[in-house]
Amino acid sequence: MNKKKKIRFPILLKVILLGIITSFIASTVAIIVNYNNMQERAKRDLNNYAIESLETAQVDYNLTNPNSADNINSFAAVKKYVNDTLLALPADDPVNIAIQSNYSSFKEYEQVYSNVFSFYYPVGMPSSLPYLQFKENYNRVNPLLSKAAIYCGQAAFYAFWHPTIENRLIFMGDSRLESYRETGNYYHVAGSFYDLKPGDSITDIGNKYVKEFKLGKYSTRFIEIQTDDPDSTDLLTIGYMFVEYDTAAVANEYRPILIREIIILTITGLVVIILYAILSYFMFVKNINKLNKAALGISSQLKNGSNFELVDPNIKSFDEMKTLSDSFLVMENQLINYVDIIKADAKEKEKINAELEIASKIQLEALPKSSFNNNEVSIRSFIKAAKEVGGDFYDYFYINDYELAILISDVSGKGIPAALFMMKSKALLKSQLKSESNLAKAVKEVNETLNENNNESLFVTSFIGIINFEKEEIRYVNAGHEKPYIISQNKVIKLEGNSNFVLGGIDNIDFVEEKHAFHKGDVIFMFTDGLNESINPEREEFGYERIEKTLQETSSLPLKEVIKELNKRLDAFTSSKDQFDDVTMLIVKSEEEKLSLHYEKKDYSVIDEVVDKFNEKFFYIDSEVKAKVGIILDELINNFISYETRDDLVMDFDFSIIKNVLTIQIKTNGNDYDPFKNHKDKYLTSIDKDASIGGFGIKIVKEFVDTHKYEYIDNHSIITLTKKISQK
Amino acid sequence: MEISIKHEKELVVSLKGRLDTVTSVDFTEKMNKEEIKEEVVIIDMKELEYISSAGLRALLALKKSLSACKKELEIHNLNPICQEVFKVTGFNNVLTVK
Repeated sequence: MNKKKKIRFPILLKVILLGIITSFIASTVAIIVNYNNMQERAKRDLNNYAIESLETAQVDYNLTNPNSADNINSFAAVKKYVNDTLLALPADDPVNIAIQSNYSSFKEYEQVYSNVFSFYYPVGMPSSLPYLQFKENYNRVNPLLSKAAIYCGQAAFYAFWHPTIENRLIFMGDSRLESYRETGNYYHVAGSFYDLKPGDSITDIGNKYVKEFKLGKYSTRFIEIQTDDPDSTDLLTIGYMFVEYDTAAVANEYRPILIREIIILTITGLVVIILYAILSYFMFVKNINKLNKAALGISSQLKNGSNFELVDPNIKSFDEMKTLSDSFLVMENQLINYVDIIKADAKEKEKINAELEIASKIQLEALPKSSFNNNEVSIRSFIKAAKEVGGDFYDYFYINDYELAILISDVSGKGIPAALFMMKSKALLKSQLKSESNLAKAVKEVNETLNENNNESLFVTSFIGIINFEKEEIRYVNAGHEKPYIISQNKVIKLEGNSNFVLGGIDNIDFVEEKHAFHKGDVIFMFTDGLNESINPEREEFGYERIEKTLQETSSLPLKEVIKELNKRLDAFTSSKDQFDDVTMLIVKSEEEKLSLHYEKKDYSVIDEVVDKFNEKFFYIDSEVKAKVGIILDELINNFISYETRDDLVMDFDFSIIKNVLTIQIKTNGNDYDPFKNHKDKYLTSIDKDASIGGFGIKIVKEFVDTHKYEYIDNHSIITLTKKISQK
Repeated sequence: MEISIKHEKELVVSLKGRLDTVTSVDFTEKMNKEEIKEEVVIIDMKELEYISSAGLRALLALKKSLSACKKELEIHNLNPICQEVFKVTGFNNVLTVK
């Protein structure tokens, strides 16, 4: 039944999914946060890089030319040139003009200087010209600047200021210009070029602060280029180097880096998750599987009913799983114990059941037969135990020639204790009733004995009656039992009266004996509360009314049919619901006394036989009545035999006494002849003519009976006579 | 039924049991065989349980035959049943009951 269900969503998968989701969220947050900082970051990185480049260039310069004579000389020469030569040039010298001009634009500047060059080159400017020397000196700086520009990867330009004239730019190169990139040539400037105004930041250049300023969309960095001042120990700033870069372009360049970083982050996350999952498997899932396997092992053992063996999940970790496994083992051990106990119990129960069955059989055998008949009494009983053994019982037995004890009892409780108590009660009642003629005393004695050592506090309700067939009465003691019914002449009467206490309840109590008429033909119906208290699905009781109604409706039926009908109605009422209490019924009828005789002979000897049998059967009735019956029989049988023509005469005699009325019925297969009708009362007054003729017989018969009747039915003539008889 | 006959001053016939259809035949036979010398025949019914009409007829026949030879028939010690039978049938009118 327990098919192994597929795990659709294993823990491992859950762990991995959870990891992926977490990692994804973390990466996304990181990306969002980082992206905003990206431009700043790129800028900062590049800035640092630019400065580094510039510093490197400077260091290179300084290292490769530390205090070299050339250097010193060059700068000294520059200074000298500027101070002595250049400034000494006539004011209209193109150089001077160029230096001293104020340019409104770079274009203008370039124009002026091209004039300078065009002025000098055509006239053959000697190489020793200070300008050229100057140019060469600056040219030496070029590679450094180029290098710095390359380092930056962006753009760089540089400028030299006039060493002595404040704020005068004298030289400038820009890597972004085509000419620079293609030829490595620079535009050189001398003299001032921008007069930078305060507030432009660059104003502070003269104060040797490294500042940032903006030119358009570019960010710019610059650094001082210094050399030894031959005239002093101070360093002489001869110019500034600038680098600048396009922040947007930098950000663009950084984007792939960002993406790469995200991918790396995610992959790292995944790897961590997989590791986590693998570890999880070994640390948790594996153990869970072990437990699962162990549990399945146990359940299959239980199912197969094989010998139960301990299944150890064999978990070696030292965590909660170990605790669970230990608990599992404890549970298993208990389970094994319980299974053993249950098996033993089942075996024991089987044995007990078998024994109970035997006990039930013995118990039923202890009860008298469910059917008994003799001439004066008919008895039928019904008993149905709710359990294997019940506490109900009934009994009947003669205590002398003319008295019959009948009793019905219900022991409190069920099962074996009730059954044992029942056996005890039954035996006690029988022995006491047989030995003690005083019923109340006998019952009292039973009660005393039942009370002795009655530690289980069991008790028994009992109706005990003694039918005296001679007195036609019943004397009884009702010890807390359901009141029986007496059915007399089709009337149902509840046998009311003193309800004594139950037997075995209290000792030293007296019981009251009562009497009720119990004529021939009367019936007493006794029962246990299992009958009236049987309930239907609506929890209604069967009740007394239904019992009374049934008894009323079956009052003319044989006892067997009464019991049958009650059972039928009870079953219909309870809808065959499980019986919850024992049901016991005992019905006893004091039979009208009856004698039936059958003869198939046409012989006068029949007379004596019939008369003798009648006298034998009804020995107790008045001898005068017996004599009269004898005469009647003699007259009638004589008549039949004397006047019947057929030889195969069959005669049936039925005698019965009901309510002190004797009924004689004689049925023959003879001719249809009514002796009473055709009879003339004969009364003899003198001995004359027909004194010997018959006719006296019928006269006597008519005189001796109370009623007489002749019928001819189905080819049979039937004579019915009744006669009231006195008590014997 | 038992019939015992004693020849004394009178002929005393004691009946015991029932005088009915069957026994009355025996009674009649027995009385017919009997040689009656006595003047009086006494039927003692002290121990007779009852008498039926057949018995009555036997008595009547006996009475008639005795009357023919001038002899007397007396019925003694009738029990109440027999008295009733006699009374009902009128036999107490024709038979000497003592």
